Amino acid sequence: MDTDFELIKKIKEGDRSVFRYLVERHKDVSLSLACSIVKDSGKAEDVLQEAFIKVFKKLDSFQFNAAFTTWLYRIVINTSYNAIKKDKNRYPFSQEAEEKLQNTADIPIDKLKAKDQKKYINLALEKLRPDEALVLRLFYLCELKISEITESTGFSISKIKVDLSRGRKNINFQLRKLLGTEIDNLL
Amino acid sequence: MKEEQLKYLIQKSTVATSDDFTDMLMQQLETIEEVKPVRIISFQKIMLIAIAGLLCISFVAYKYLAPFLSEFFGKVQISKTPIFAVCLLLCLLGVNYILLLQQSYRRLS
Repeated sequence: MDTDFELIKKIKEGDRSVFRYLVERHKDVSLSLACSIVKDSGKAEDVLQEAFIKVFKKLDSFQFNAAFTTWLYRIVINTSYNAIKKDKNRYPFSQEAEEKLQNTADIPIDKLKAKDQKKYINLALEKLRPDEALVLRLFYLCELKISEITESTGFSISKIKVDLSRGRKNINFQLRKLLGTEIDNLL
Repeated sequence: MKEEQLKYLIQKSTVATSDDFTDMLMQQLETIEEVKPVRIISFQKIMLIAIAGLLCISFVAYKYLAPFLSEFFGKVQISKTPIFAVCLLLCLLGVNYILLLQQSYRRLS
């Protein structure tokens, strides 16, 4: 399988259709990052489309001295923050998350365990502050080092450490609030 | 919650895009590639450059062609009225063309 750099080389040489493979490879993790900030999966998908278009347009200026993912995540994160800046009337925590929470509140946990584990974890992440959820995902999902997170987000190292620490506490709190002692079944 | 447990949970939280996400994106990119951006130059800039160019040409023509022209017009007797009429017509056509250009410039920008 071609590496990101090989795919980018092919695109730069004129084979634009290869961009599809690059998108397929990174779209889910990128969407998760956008969701951390935008807090709405529908809007996050729109933001991601916009971000990938920017990536495609700027690909010629991409230098191979940095990881493609760090560059991609930076564009996704900037586009997401711009999107929430435009949408000033949004709720601090998404209304969508509240609705989902109400819909799932009465479902027995044993049924949820198999089906909706992902949903519960995402609900807990949606309740976190955008910066905290983003840093948690960059650290644990994308497995970036703190220095790489700095490069992708523009946050200082101390801010990242604080957000990570708060994020860990808050997701634990949110999951316990949602699931009570049943949290152990998730693990 | 332990570090490894948290990592396990966060890795489970990956959000999947809709099935047609990539197709829609590639379609959008094709549309972008088809529509090449039109480079619009300021109308005032064009006018200034054109006037400066005309002045330069007039100056060069006056400097180098004047002796030949006076010699030519000294020999040939031409009535002034048709020359003025032609000049007036050319001026009107020029103004008309500039107005049309300005209109299309506004439409484009």
